[in-house]
Amino acid sequence: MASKRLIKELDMFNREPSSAVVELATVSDEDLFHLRAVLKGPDETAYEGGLFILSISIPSNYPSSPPEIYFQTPCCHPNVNFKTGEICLDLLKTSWTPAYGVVSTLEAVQQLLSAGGEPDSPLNIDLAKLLRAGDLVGAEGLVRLYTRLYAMGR
Amino acid sequence: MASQHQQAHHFNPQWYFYQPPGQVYHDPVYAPVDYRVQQVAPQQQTPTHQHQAFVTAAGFTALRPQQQRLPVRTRQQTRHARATMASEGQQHAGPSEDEMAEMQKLSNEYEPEVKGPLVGQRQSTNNLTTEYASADPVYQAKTTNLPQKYSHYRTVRGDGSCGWRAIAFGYFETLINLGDGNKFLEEEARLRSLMNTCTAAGYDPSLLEDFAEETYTLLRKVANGMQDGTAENALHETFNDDYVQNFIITHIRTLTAAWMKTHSQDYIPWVVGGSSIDQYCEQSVTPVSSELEHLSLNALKDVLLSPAGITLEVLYLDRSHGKEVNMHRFSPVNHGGYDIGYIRLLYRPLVMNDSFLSRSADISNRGHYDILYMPSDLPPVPVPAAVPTYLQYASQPYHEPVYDLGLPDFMTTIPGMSYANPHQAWVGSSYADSDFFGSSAPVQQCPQPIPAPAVPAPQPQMQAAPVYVPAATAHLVPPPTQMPEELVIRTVPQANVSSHQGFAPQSTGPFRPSTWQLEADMSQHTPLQTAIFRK
Repeated sequence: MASKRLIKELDMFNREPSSAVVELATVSDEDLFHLRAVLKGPDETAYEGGLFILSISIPSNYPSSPPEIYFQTPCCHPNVNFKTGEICLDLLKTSWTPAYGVVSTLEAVQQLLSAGGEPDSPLNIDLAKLLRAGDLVGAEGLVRLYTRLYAMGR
Repeated sequence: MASQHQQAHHFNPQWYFYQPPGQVYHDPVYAPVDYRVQQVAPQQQTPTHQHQAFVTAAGFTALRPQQQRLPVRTRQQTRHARATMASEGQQHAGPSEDEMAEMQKLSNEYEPEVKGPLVGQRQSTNNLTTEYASADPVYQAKTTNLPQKYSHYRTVRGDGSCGWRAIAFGYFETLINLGDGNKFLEEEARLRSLMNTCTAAGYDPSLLEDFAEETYTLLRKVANGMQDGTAENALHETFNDDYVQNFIITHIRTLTAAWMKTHSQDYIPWVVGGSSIDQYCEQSVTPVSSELEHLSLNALKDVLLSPAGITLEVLYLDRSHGKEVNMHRFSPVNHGGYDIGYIRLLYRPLVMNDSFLSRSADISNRGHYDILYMPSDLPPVPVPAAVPTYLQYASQPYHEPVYDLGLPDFMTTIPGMSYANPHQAWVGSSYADSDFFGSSAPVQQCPQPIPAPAVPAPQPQMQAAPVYVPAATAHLVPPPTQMPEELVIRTVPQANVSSHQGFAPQSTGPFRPSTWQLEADMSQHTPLQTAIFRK
């Protein structure tokens, strides 16, 4: 059932591409449960122009459990772990509903980037400190730097 | 308190733009617990800022500016976190970051063991009395009185979805007990039309299809099972198939959320904590193991049960005064009294006390729903084979094969309506003076207007032989005392029309245009009726 649903989702993505997700495909042809996605940095934010690679692993009881999504391209965001790529998004944890798909979840991740995040419960402490101190210019500069450094120019 | 942190740090895009006006969450039940948490807080204030570590570290709340906010969803997490604190809090002399993270991880992954089948077999409520025999006197009294009214109950696994599962199961069961094959088609069509509501609420219909399809499949399966009496087994089996029942529950959760989102003005006054309907749905309706709360219960009733004509009764078995369980009825009053049956749930609220917290067992449940039955809700017991001989003769008609048509017994008493060949009676060429309409005897034998039984497709024949109608009218009118006055003073042709309707094939119940066409209008008049919400 999980694979049937995944095939359907991938099929739908190929027919109607999302504005947020540039690419979504399985890592290898044999394994349907590991996907690779390329997420577009949202326009008019410090992430603009960046292309972020994410790895997605689908649990066997999908869609009853959420997919696990990690940034592979380092992403500077208060709610993303810079080293491991872990994302702190309630949709990926407690708020998951089977009515969401992989693509809509990725879109929510993009929304997380454009919304700026929640610096009070950070995974990226350095950035959160800047934000909490109110240094928005500094924070934006940092984000731009890392986006340019890692997510651009490939 | 700690869970506020947990809640907030899972970022939700919609909350980002939303700053609630400092809502205080009032619940006396939690007050003493909160107090205790704050007492422990100072010793846990460590300067570490590691992700996740703070869910157990209550002291972190001191750093948070928005600590007043506690949305509904987090209550169960709160309990979870508190339970963790109750057991771990005292040991935190100065655990390292890693230890804290490890403990948090364990705590997050902890799932109370849930036992029992997803939906159990129907059993006698005397078992409940036995279960509570050593409980406190209030429970004893209430459970002792329970079997007098409610003869049976059915357990539902308490995994967080019990309320949803109980209602979904009860919905199908009520349709089975109604015994009308057309109703299943009607319901399928209605549920399919609700997909538009889901689209309007922003759900992707192509993903929802998979879930909805399981519901439709079950409706069809059960409808087919009605023929050979396997419907109940099919239903029970399906609801014990974890995968399928999950899909069905997801379907009704999404329907409920979609309904709330598209009728938000009806529900927003009851959302606690200043959240929006969208937030409420994301926290308390659609997540996989979010429990059925009073508000979602109302919405589920409005979208699934009321339009189908099903009344929901919730019986609260709690510590309140009295010798009987408190019943709250959610009847489909706004549906013209159209009423096909009952779903009765036994609700047992979570007992909050310290020993419970420290045991931290079963904490994912804020309360638990099981299904209750009155004797009248039970499907008719088939006449057992071991009846004394002389009685067996009397029960003979039950074994006639045409009984499967679902015709009520009294139909046999009408000349020309024998079970053996109902069609000939309708098709008879000398229709106008056939026994059925010509004789006044049957009218006296059934003193009430015939309640429109599901006669298999008589309509074409009736239209083919319109001649009979004028002759029939005079005989058909039952004694005037039982007729609405307007009908009596009608001119003959009008009366004909009404007599047509009386015999038209419909689902049971008085004639009404459509169950679901009225929805849009209905919803505006649907008050939320719980006394609970008025508090």
